[in-house]
Amino acid sequence: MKKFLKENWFVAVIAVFFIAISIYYAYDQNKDNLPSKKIDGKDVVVSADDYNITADDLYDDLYKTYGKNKLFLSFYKAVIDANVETTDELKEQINSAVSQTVSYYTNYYGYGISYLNQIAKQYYGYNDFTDYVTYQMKGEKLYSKYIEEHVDEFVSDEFIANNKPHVISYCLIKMDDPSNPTDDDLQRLAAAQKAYSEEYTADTFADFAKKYSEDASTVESGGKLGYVDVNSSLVKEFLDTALSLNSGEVSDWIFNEKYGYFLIKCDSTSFEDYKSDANFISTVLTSNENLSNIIVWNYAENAHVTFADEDVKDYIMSQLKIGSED
Amino acid sequence: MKKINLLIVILVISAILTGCGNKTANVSDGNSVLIQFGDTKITKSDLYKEMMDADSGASVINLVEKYLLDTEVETTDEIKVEANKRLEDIREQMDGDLSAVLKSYGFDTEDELLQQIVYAVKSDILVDRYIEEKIDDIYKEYAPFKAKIIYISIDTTEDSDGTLAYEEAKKALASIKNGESFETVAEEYSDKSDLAEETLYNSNSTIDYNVLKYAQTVDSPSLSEIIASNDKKGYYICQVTVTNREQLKEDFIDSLKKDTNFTNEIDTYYFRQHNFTVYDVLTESYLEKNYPTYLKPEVTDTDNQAE
Repeated sequence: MKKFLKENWFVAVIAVFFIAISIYYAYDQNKDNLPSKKIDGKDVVVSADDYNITADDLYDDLYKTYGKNKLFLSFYKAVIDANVETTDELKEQINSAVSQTVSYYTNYYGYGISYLNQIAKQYYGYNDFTDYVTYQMKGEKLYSKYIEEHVDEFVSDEFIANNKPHVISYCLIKMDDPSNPTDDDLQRLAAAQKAYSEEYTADTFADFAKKYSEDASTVESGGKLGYVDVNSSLVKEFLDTALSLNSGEVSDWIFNEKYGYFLIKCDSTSFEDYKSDANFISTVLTSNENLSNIIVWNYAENAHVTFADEDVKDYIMSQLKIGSED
Repeated sequence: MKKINLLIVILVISAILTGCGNKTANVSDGNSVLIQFGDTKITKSDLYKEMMDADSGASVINLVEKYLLDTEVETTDEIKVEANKRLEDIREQMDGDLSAVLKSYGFDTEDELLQQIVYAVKSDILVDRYIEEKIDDIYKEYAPFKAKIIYISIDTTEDSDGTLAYEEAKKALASIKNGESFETVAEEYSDKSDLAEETLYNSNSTIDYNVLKYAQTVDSPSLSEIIASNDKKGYYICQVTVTNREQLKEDFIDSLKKDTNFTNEIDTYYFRQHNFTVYDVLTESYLEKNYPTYLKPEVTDTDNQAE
């Protein structure tokens, strides 16, 4: 040993120094750490005197209040996650939707993200508002996927005849009192009308709307409104005109006494162009009883879902409002 | 080679030591599958984490509270009688149908509701016991009193230096000293008529600091001189009506029992007394966020004196 130290004194010094630093670092990192405890091989969560609450005890207690609801939500989210990828594009859409909603609530009600997080957690059982929006949007993709796989069932001739599905864009010349337009209102309208008749066509309608439309909610997207059908909550003149158009057609300028003047274009009447639209999905879900739950169950069943016990299965099925024979 | 081996051993041991982290308490059979489809599994651990997140520490606090109540307060026949009486009162309020109450608590049976009421009765007893044992310290901390107050605000547009408001205060004070009732004078001069009603205050009350300072320095019913408000926006006249501890006792204790900060203080006291300890980092994080006072608060002078 002496010989070793004599020959390797420098290494020994370095080693001792390093060990001392490591021990101090380990102590410093761990000094505020919690102790761990086991009782009969089970992890203890908290204790008071000799009373120990293990993770197993806590699980049983929590299950009484939260178990079934959380299990259902976990099941629902897992089915969606297994069938809908969270792409970068989708993440951007989710973040954008969250930002817009937070901004709206902050500006109009003074409530920020904390309020929305609380609502999402307390009333819907999600981790936070972003989690809620994520599964709303991914859920829509799941429903869209299923509807597309069963398009003949849902987008039948009868559906088309009854609902008149259209994809619509528009340009609005906005007026405070359209029945009594100001000189400025009339000048802007005239300029837009001249421009469209001389410089634009149906194919360049989006460019026209981007330049002339005064509707802040759609101008950036080239006036795109999206899916519209007979059930859409739109002013009568607008809706009637929009649904009368064929694919690619542009209407005449339409007067509305509340908003001003509209120029409307039917972008498409093809399923391919509205199949992912949230309003279309909503129409189909509303028109078919319990369809959203049937879709979730369909994907789970196709993946040969199994349950740990009948009680869990019965609860899930009851939440989905699906009979045990399905 | 031996030197290298030795250094490697030292490095590994050091890494292990520094890697020692906080413990997460896991359920015993966490990997058991509750639901499975395709490659997707929802395990007991998954569900446990979801439930813990939804609960945010409330159940842990509740379970320990029940233990403390059972330990500190024996379930006597009197307690059972009181609990049954309260249950019957609830039943009468609900026209005989307790189903909505049971549902709101997540109970399936009346027995479960009755047990919850037993804990409520025990909690009341524990609060009374705490107050009785620490009444001197509580009086010292809260320094309660009853008072009536007149407030005269300064109109900053017409009376920027407060002279007019001060003159009004002088007139009001003179009227009281001449024998007019405080309430009558308040009705004529005060800008906050509700303050004229005799009210119980203590150190935590929302009351002007200068008025509080005056009221807590007198040891018998007194009428103040004119007091400039702490925010310099007006003047107060304060008539302290009750300072006697015995005369204040009933109302003061009633007000304490309605003060959630105070009842929380009692709760954390007993948690501390029974050496409440957390072993799970997840639970600790929830308690830090939602129940921070339960996590080994610093020992106060009150605790030292009691012990």
